[in-house]
Amino acid sequence: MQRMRYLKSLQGGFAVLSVIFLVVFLSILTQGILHIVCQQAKFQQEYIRQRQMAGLGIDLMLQALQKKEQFNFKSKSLPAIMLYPGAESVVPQIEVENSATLPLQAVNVVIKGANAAWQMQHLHLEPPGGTNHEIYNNLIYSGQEIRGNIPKGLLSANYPLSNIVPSIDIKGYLHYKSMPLPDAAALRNVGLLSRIYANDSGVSSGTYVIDSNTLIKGSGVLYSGNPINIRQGCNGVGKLWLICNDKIIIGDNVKLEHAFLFAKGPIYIGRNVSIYGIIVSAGKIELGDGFIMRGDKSVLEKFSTSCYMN
Amino acid sequence: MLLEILLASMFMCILFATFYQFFLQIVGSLSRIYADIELHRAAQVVISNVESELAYNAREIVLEENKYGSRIICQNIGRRRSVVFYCRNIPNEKNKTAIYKSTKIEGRTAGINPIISPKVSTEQWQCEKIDAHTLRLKMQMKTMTSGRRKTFVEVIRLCNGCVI
Repeated sequence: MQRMRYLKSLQGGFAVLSVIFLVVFLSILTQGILHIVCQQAKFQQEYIRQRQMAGLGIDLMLQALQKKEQFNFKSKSLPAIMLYPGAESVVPQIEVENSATLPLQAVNVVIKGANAAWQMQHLHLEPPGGTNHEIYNNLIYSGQEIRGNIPKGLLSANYPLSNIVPSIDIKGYLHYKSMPLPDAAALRNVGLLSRIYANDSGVSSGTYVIDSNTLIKGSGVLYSGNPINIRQGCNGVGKLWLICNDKIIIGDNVKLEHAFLFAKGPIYIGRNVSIYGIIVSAGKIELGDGFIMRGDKSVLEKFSTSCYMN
Repeated sequence: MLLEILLASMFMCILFATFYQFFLQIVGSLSRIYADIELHRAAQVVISNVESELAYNAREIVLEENKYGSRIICQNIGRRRSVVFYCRNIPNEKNKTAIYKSTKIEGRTAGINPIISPKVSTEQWQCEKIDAHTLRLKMQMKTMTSGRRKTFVEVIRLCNGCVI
């Protein structure tokens, strides 16, 4: 009897507890669902935003490159755009930047959002002094002397057609570089990515060396403040600009099919080297036996870099 | 106190048993939400992967067809590397197909990796050329657990390359 009375007194308690259990269970369930949905929504929102920016950036860049040729505009701020979905207001801007010290034109597409900015850049670079600089009337030019057997027809009767070697803006190359000079693994695994590669002239960076028998594929502008050494047996098959504030050393049996070599110091060329392009040195040029060169002024055409979103 | 808890638990079980359909609906909805999330994530991984290669790294793109759908062959700007995206059945698994990325570096054998979760199967993988700089990618995915399907369509713009 006592036990029954005790149980009756507890009836109110267990009903309340049951309801509490149920409420707790359901609220945990609801929160769990909400958490998953919120996480996914946040993830999705960021993903969509990234794609919107990339899409907008690419479209504007393609338009800017077309219009640049047609209208040659300087810089343009576009009206703010409301993104859909997302309802975020962004201000796109197209800037055409002409470098004061480099023959370079940069087309920038900048998209400014509330919390971040995206930038896409496309560069058009000319050789030092510009494509039409008179020094490039010479297929091979040395500020001092050319030693060795010069292939026939390379030097004109009136050589030198010009003797003004344009200056190199070191800071300009470093400012516009998109990558440091590629190492052996990058050249072996990927090749050159149509970009400006540069290393500063600090002592720590040392001579830039391309290992023996490397096949250099792809196009690129390689600038180094220190010497450049292309070791024996290397083969360059793309458009390659080597711009050096020091000396350039080309090893034996090197073949560069579409190359522009420009050095403020001497250029040393080994035996059995083939170069198709233009060579300019403010110092002396030493040619090894069996040197073959074909002058190719098409290497001086504007170098257009590939375009990436930052 | 222990008795109270036991009785409350029992009462809750009765409640569950009475309204089991409602709870089953919740569980069903949850699994559908989870499947949708899984499909979306898988699609986003695939699209991000394909888009980054096509939009920025590709110089030339060639589209081919096979019995599983399209083969997207991208020649890299770097010229020593090429990437192929394609769909094929997963070895030793019947009726299950996945999207693979084959990366080939000159002078080496190609590295082939699936770019999709093993829980998701690809039912359709189609890529069409819209113009020289634009592609339309369509894919249908199915979760292996619930069988839920979803079709994703994306337009990809090429920044540094073109479709041949």
